[in-house]
Amino acid sequence: MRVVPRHRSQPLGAASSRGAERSGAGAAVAHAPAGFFLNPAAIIVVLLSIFPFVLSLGMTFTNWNLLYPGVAFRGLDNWARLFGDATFQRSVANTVFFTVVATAIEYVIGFALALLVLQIERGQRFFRLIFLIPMMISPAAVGYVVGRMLFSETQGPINDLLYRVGISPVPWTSNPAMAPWTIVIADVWQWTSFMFVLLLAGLQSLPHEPFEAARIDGASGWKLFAQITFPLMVPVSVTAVLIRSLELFKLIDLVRVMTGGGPGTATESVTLYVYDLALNRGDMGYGATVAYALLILVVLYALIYLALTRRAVANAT
Amino acid sequence: MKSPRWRQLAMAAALLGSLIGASGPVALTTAQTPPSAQFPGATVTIAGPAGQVECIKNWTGDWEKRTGATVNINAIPFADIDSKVLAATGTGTFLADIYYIGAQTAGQLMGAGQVLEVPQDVRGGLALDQIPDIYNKYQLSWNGKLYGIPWDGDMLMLNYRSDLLSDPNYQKAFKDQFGYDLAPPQSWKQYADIAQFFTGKDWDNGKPGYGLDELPMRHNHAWNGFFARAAVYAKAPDDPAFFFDPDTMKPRINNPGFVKALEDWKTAMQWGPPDMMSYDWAANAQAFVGGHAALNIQWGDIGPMSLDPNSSVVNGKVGFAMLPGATQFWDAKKGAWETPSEPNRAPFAGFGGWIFVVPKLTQNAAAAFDLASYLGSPEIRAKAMVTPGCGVNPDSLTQLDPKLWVAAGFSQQAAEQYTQAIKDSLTNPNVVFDLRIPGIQDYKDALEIAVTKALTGEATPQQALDEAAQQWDQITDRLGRDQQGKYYRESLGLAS
Repeated sequence: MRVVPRHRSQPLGAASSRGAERSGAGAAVAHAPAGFFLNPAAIIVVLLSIFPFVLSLGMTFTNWNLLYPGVAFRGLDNWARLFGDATFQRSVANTVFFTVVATAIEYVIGFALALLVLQIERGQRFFRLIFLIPMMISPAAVGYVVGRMLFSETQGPINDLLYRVGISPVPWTSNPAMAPWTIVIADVWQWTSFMFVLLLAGLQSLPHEPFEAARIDGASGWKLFAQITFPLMVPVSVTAVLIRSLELFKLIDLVRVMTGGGPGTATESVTLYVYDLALNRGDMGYGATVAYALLILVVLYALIYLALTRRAVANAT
Repeated sequence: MKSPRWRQLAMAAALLGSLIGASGPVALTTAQTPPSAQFPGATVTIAGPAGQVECIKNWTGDWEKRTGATVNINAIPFADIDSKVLAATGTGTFLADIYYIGAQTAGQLMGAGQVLEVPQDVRGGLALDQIPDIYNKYQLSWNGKLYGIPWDGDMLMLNYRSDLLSDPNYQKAFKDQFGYDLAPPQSWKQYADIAQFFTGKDWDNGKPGYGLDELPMRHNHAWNGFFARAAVYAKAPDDPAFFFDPDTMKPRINNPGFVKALEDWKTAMQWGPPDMMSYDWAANAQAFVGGHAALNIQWGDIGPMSLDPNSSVVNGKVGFAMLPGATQFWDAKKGAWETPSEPNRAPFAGFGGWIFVVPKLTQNAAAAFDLASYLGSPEIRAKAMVTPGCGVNPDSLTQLDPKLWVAAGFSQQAAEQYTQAIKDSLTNPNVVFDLRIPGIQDYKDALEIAVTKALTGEATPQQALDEAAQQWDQITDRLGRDQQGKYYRESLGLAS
């Protein structure tokens, strides 16, 4: 009898199952523990991921509202409603703004800080810890302390300082043109450290040889950064920007605490809109539809982003 | 082999379901209220807004001793209370035996038959004859049946700095500028003049003050802030309807009366604090009792809050009045502006007050009604009304005796003004009670988006309200125009 070698990565249960077919009752005993250990995990995945995913997709075709009894199939009504919903469209525009602007600023500042800290021979740990602190604070607390207290237009210290030096108070959250920028400022305050940590780790792991060769060739300063450091950091940068931007697509906490989506809908994010629809108004059907629209948007974004950056990553690696 | 096993499971589930059903809410109705008022070992859960519902602990101890029952308080953040209650009701999930809830949401539950009618045997202790018609008819009842137990009354009113308005120097300067005497405003035009006059003046804290302090924040009280202004321009005294045409459910919110109110408000925003767009209830109150504004639109809470030495710098400096009126109003039935001989007054009972209702899902209806009616007795309500942190405003005529308020710390003059302003509002025949039909959250958000767009210059008042009216039509169609019309007419006490 030929023994079929088991692949190293092949699951234990799969190998035992195949063996059971060949060696009868003895192998059946061996099969039992594998199922015992695998089934709970499989059930958990089905219950917690796949079932809600499928159920919520199904909800998009219904008029299910938690506040009223009865559910009816409504076909594509909810999807059609998206196209005439000005609040949804505004929330998409706001979310894209938050994502693009905040990610870009956080990346630039995070990279600059990482490069600066990399130059320091002593105290790197200290700065790493200091820069990590904002990331450890609850976003709701950041929204309240940074967003509402510091930026309070009549009682906050920032406007008070501006008033004392003769500058007119800034309408941080009451002006529809200014409010999205105030959200970005608070997000940058909190999450630049995320970029900093990832990029610093990336910089520390870069090989020394290309830098030494470039220095021998006379490169320094900006040239060294533009031609060696930055290209080598592309894989880490692509990952950091992707993770951060995916998080920003789901922004809700800062917005809810700082502006509640206002004034008007000037800072309404898609996730805040979903929260409002589903949990405040009980409109689960349409809330699920908006959530799925966001999912489609995020998937499209991720695919395009990865396609655009693939060549740069390949070159760097 | 699979089929019988599934059948067994299905039968077991059905049996379990029927057992749960039999021992659950359906089995407990008011008809089974035990003759004794004692409930040893029972637990009564009351769900209400965090920061307010805890106040009942001041009195539940006595009830627990008397009945042997335990009171469990489920404090829910204010922003989530309506959705939690409605979601629990919609899904048949037990949340509490008593809901401590706003009249708007309570109305939805009453209309949908989700709460129990108040039993006759507990009505006697509520002194309902002392409660004005507006609350008996609109806050506590639906279609003539009593479902709510009184706790709080809510009427938006005008609060003003009496020290500033009575200052001889300001009076002279105001008369020089506007040509008439400085006094509590009788119309929104006068209100605007006074706000303009005081904006930028430094009256006590070394910084320029603001003329007014209102409630324009979306997801908070922009709805109430707007209708407090719009009622006098758009509520005809001989027409019970306000928000919709009760026959067609066509929204009225973009008619010239409402547009005029929004235009006024947009103009007035320049005389308020620059960040007023993000003022929630607390920020509004704090700005006024903190001494930053001359005029304020709020509920009756400002009166007791102005006495608190920890947060108020205006103790003894506040006057109270009914919301201002208007010399003209838009008659929606006639489609024309009307000019009454006296200014039109239409106080707005925004939010409508907190009340107690007992849901059909209660696990102990008798104990729930016993506790709710104990809390809703005139004696406890009178205590709650003057207890800091309770957020309870007067809801009955007996609570509007100035002596009660003098005892709570008001001056005689302030007590008389305060009680008279509320009494005038409550008994005004043209008073507008808040909307309380299904979909209120959707209608509210559509309106608040439109109002805030107009206030921040993103749209003209007419454009914004046209957009909101279109949204309201869509919401009404989605929920069923006929059904919504029935609810609206019932909520007004009209034949459905």
